[in-house]
Parts: sequence; C-alpha cells; structure tokens
Amino acid sequence: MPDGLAPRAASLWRIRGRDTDTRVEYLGFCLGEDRYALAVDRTGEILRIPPMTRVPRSSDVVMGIVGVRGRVLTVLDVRARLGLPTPAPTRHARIVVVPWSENESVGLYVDRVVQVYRMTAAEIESAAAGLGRNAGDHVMGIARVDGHLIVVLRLEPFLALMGT
Amino acid sequence: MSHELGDKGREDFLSEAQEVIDRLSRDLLLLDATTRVGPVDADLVNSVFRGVHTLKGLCGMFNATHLTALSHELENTLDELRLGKTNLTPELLDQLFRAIEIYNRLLAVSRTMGADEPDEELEAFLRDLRRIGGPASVSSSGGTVYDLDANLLAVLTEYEEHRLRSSVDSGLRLYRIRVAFQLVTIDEQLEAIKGQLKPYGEILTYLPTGGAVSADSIELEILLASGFEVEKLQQALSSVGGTVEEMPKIRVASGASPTGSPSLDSQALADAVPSRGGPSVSLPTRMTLSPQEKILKTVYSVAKPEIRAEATLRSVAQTVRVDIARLDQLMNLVGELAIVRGGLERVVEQIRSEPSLRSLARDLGRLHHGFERHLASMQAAILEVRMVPLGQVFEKLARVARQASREVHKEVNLVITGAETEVDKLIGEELSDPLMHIIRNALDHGIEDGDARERVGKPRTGTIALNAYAKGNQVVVEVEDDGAGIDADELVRSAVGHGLLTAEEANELTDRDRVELVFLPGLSTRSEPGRLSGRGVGMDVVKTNIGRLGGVVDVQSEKGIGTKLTITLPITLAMISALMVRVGEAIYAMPLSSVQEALLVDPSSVREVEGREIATVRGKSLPLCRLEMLFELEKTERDPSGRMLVVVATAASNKSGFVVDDIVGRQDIVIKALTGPLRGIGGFAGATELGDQRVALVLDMPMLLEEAMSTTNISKRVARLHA
Repeated sequence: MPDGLAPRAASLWRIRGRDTDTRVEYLGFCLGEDRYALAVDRTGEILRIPPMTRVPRSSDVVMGIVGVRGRVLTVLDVRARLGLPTPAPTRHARIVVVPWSENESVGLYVDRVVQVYRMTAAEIESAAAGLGRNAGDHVMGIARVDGHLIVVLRLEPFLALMGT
Repeated sequence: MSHELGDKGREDFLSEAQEVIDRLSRDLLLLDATTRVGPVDADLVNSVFRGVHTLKGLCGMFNATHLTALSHELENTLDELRLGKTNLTPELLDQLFRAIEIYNRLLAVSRTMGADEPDEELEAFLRDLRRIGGPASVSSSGGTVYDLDANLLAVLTEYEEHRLRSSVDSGLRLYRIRVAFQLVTIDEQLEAIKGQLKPYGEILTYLPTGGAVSADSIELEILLASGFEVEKLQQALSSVGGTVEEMPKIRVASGASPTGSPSLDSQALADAVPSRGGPSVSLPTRMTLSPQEKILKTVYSVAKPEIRAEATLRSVAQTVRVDIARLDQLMNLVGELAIVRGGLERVVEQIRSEPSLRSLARDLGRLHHGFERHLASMQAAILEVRMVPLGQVFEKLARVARQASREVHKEVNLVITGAETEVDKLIGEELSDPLMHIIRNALDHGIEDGDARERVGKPRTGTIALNAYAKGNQVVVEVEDDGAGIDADELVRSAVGHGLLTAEEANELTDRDRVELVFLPGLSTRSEPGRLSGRGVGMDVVKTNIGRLGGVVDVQSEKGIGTKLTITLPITLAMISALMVRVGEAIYAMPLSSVQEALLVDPSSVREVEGREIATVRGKSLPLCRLEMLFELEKTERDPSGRMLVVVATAASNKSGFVVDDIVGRQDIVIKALTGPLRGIGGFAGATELGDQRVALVLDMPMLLEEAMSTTNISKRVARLHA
C-alpha cells in the first residue's frame, strides 16, 4: 500500500461519517425577488415556458397546463399564495418539475433558476430561529450564501399548501 | 406469496388463476341452471373439479397458502360429489358460489400485498363446507350389470367406475364402440365422435384395444352409457364407421384388482395426483396405490399420449398475455406519431405554397397521405387488442343476481343478450360495479315478491333483462326489470322533505325530471333500508362512476310496469374523435360522440326566456349555452347582428346549442388526464396536445349539458349541500 493512503482514507471516512458535514445539493430559484431552494433529488426537469393553456374553474394557484413530450403538466404559480409580487414573465422564467404524488408530477413556475447550492445541514438555520414561530411546516430552514437569504423548502408540505 | 418469482411471474399467476376462476364461475352457473330442470350433469361437475384441481396446483406453486387451503378443501368436496358420495344440494351449490367470491377476494388481496394473515371469512367458509359437504348415503342397487372384461375394469379410474355403476343403476345400457383412428388426426376425430355421441349418452371411457389396423392408425374402444337402441347408435355413427355392440349382461365381476395401467384419458392424471382426503368409503375392491405406483402412473400417463400434448402446446403458443399498461404505452406512441403527422401536414402546406417546389410538394403530400392511412390502421389494430366481450362482465353479474335473489327471497330470471358486444377492457372493468348496484337495486326495490306479483297478474318469477349492443362509436347497455317501477311522487316528496326542492319547483318538474330525481344523492324512497342496496351505494354513485367513463345513464320507469336504465358508453377511452372549436382565445375539444350538428343561427330567432337564450331551429326550440358564461370568462366581443355559430350537443336526453366563435376542424385526439390539483375538476374530461406544442382542454359534454340544462339548478344546490 502506498504511503499516506491509509490516513487519507481515514479522514475521508471521517468526513462522510459525520452527517452534518455531508453536503446536499439544493436547486436555488427566485419567486419574485426572493430566493428559495429545494433539494435537488426532489426536482426533475427544468423547462422553458411553453405556450400555456388557462384552465377555467381552477384554483388561483393553477397557472395553466402545458404539453411536455406526451404528458400534460399542470403548472402552479405559488407566488400570490405566498404573498409575493408576481412580475410579468421574463426570458429567465422557468418551470421546475416536481413530484405531486407517486405517479404524478406538477410544474412550479419560477421567475428564475439561480444556481445549485451545496450545503451541509449545519449551514441551514432552523426555520424557527430565522423566521420565528410563524414559519409554516413547509420551511425547512434559512441559509445565507453570498449575502443572499435563501428559504429552503420541504416539498410535500409546500405542495400541500397548494392543494386547497 | 413467493417473491423470487418476481412481479411478472406473479402477474402471470394472477391472470391465469383469474381465468380458471372465471371458467369455474361459468360452469357453476350452468350447473345451477341445469340442475333446476334435470339431473346433475356429470361432465359439468367434473369440469368444476378439474378447475379447482388446476387452481390448487397453481396456488401451491406460488405459495398462496389461503388459496391453496381453499382449493384443497373444495377439491375434496367436489371429488366426493363427482364420485357420487355427496349429493348436489342447493346448500352445497350456494357454498360453491360463495367459494368463487372468496377466491376473487383472496386474489385481489394477494394482488396488493400478498401477506397471508389469518382469514376469518375463509375459516368460516371451510367449517360450513365441511358441515354441508359431508358424505351422504348414496344407494347402490348393484342389480343386473354387465360382464365387463376384467382388463377393462382394471384400468377404469375410480370416477369412471362410479359413472359406470351409476349409469347401470339408473337403467342405462352399456355399449362398446370400436373405431379406428388415424394417428395424425386422432384428436379431431375423437372430438367429432364425442360430439356425435353426446346427445345419445355419456362416454365413460375410451381405451386402445391393442389391435392395430395399420402402422399409422390405432383402434379405440369407447364405452358408452345410453338409453338408446343399438340401431340408433349405429345410425348416429354411420359417417365414422365404427362398430357398436351392447355389452353382454351378467352379474358384475367383483374381483377386479386395479393395476397401474395407463389410460388415454387425461382424467387418469388428475386422479393420480391428488391425495384423497375424507372418509374412504369407496368401492371395496379398490386398492390404494402406493406413492411409487402413483408416480409411475402419473409419469406413464403423461408420457403416453404424445399427439395430444403436442396439440396443446401449439394452442398455448398462439396467445400471449399482455399487461394493459403496455397497450397504453403503444397507444401513447401512436398519439405522438399523430402529433408528428400534424407537424408534417403543416410542412406540406408550406411547401405547397412555394411554386418552385410543386413536384416535391406532391410527392411529400402522397407520402404524408400514406403515413396517415397506416397510422389510422395501427391505431385501430391496437384498439382491437384492448377489446373484450361484455360477456365477461355479465357472467359476474349473473352470479351477483343469483346470490342476491336468494338473499331477498325473490325469484328472478336474468336474461342476457349481446354478451358478445365488445368494449375496451378498462371500460368493461369499470362497468361491473355500477351494473352490480343497478341489478341489486332492481332486485331489492324493483322486483316485487312472488305474492305481490301474483296479485297484480304478473308471473311469480321476475325478469331482469341485460341487453348490450353497439351503436356507432358507442356501446349501449340496458338493464330492464318488470318490477314495480319508480314511485315518482314519493321521490318528489322526499326531495321536498330534504329541502332540495320547494313545492312550487316540484310542481314545475316534468315527468322525466321527476323520475331522474332518483340520481340525486341521499334520496331514497324506502323508509327502511333495503337488505341489499341499503349497503350504502345509491344511484348517484352509479351515475358518477359511469360519467367518469364518459358515459351517461338514462332512466325510464312506469309505475307498476317496470324500470329501464340505459347506459351509453364510448367503446374505447384511448382515442376519440373530437370537434375542435374556438371560444374567445381558447381552443376546446368537443368529443364527437356528443355532437349532433353545427348550425348558423340568426340572432333574430333567439328569444330570452327567464334569462336563458332560446333559439328556434326548424320550428323547434333549442336552448343556447355560452361557454364563457359557464366558465365565468370575460365576454368576447361579437357582432350582435352577425349570425351565430352553434354546435348542437346531446347526452342522455339533454340537448343544447353551444355558441362558439369558430370551428377549427375535426381531429382524432388522445385524452390525457389532468393531474395535480386539477384532478377531478368538473366540466373537463382531460386535455389533449394540438401538435404545435399547445394543449387544448377536452370538454366533458354530458356534465356541461347537465349544468346548462338544470332549469331548477337542483344539481348545483345538491353540490353545495354536499360541499
């Protein structure tokens, strides 16, 4: 065995073994001007905005439906529901595909996809500490990266907000 | 359930088991029908026994312990039944039908989880079965019988011997028929002879005589029990040219010791494998085979009839079982191709407008046309594969009707026509529950009890007719009973009582409207809950479920005469023809199954009555409906003097004209379900891709018509009540 390999392996093992040090990838995006993030393993494709068809009688979070390679995807605009401004779409607007149920997906309308953040659990403050008690179940916590405040979301409770 | 076999193996097992159970159910229904009018059909009993035996083998292989236990006990009972040790009583028949229900339930359970927890219903059933299916004393006269060749007697199975004795006991004659068979065609020949002899008696067994006529032929001796004279039989067999003689009559040889000789009958196989439980009161001369002998016998029986085995293998290889989801995949691919075709068509149009490319445009146009044609045939072929005869559903219903009629102590005949009518497999599946509720309703509320029927001069036995037929792109299923009919007055009273209608509104209802109140949730004309339909499923659920399939239910009823429910369904869900219309900015698809015609209506022929627009078309009034109002969209500016484009749509007995801005064209569309929070949104059947990346909503015409037509707004009020 070459010299120095064993200690390197040991330190690697130590890093992996400590959970708070494990870096998880989060997809960062803007809703209005605010930054949000979802764990990357919970997100699917990111689409440019195709022609959208409005659906009469649907709830206010439903922006419309779009056709994506043989599927019809329901697009949700969650901004108004979160009390955020709803600027007109720019060329940066995207749809982030996320699972709605075991075999259904929906699209989240976002004003811009920012970047993928690699964060450890230690870098995400608990929601209660950051936002006080009013933070809903859908907020996992708050992170600070490069001077930006990022709200890290839990997908299922977040979507549950939109179901009604 | 065994896990090593994987999902595919499990699916195969489930579908095979389901097939066997369906066949069992059919046989039992037949058995039930025939034993009412005549003696027990031994062939049928035997067929039921074989079915259960097959199931036992299947379930054992897949470690389905409950199913195996059930099959094992049933097999024992059926074995005694076919050997004449038990009689087929109505109670036993009930138990056999009950077993089918349990089979179906257990199968459904193993489909979802496969856990084998103790099953109380099964335990109770097995106890009942043992109590009812116990051995009965069966008399045997043993009078004058025939002198049977000891060798012959030796190779008879216990079952065959039983049939032989009971035939002789009931005074039938025994005939020996010798026929030479060509080895190559022995299967067909044998089937033909069986068919010819069936009306004359029962074939007890057939054995090779050993006297070969030539190298490629074999002589068989057929043992037939028959009430006919020898001349008659000779006549019947004249085309085959066999010799018929009656067995010489002497007292039966009582010392026949069975050896492990093979018989050509596949029955030998079935007999050799099962371990016979129950009391062994069989014929005293019968020796029990040692395990080794059993195996020998089995192996020998399997090895011997080579021709037969080959024929069976061939027939199996001609069919494959396909998961319906794979057909959906294929259909989706066809849908994608249809979109590609649409794009191609646009390109062809563009090239056509370019003068320098005219000949290229012609060639491309021709290719496009060919593509379109083949695509259409491919679509039709896939749809065809998905089709199943409605008979599969109707058989289940016959079982339900039989059981339900016994529960409510009403005699009823279920008359089925059009069982061969085909529908998409999914529609067939989804249809069975609504139909079951309708039939239970008919039995519970419709058909009167025997005495009441006699008082009004109807036959004691009620009739429920189940008719199916194809009508264009739709299938119609009618359920008609000759019972008491729906009491519309009582329905109206109940609706007023529940606050769904005011007394004035009730007075304005037409007769049809009054009967249709039966579809409102929570309305029951019965003060006491019915024994069957009181189980909580009303006609409103039936209507909703059928609506989900894109179908409509219509009810007609006359007090004292009977009730008729008419269900109209699309033949297939996968792809439909639709009229694409534009209203304002939006394009909508209207399924053609609901569209009658498109008209230009002069605004001067439109009057407003109670806030509704009514047009006069060809001397009749046509209520108009504006989608932008139903959908609460902004009003589109129209030239008020210009003629209006109106699409006339019908569903059930609703008819209305939808005002549209433009008709884009006719198109075959694949309906995609709306997902996420849009699932189940009212008024839309789904969405479809238009080919230029856009999607259009598919309108749920029956529901929109209903909304447009609801003069008294009952359904809206009900919806609010239940919200």
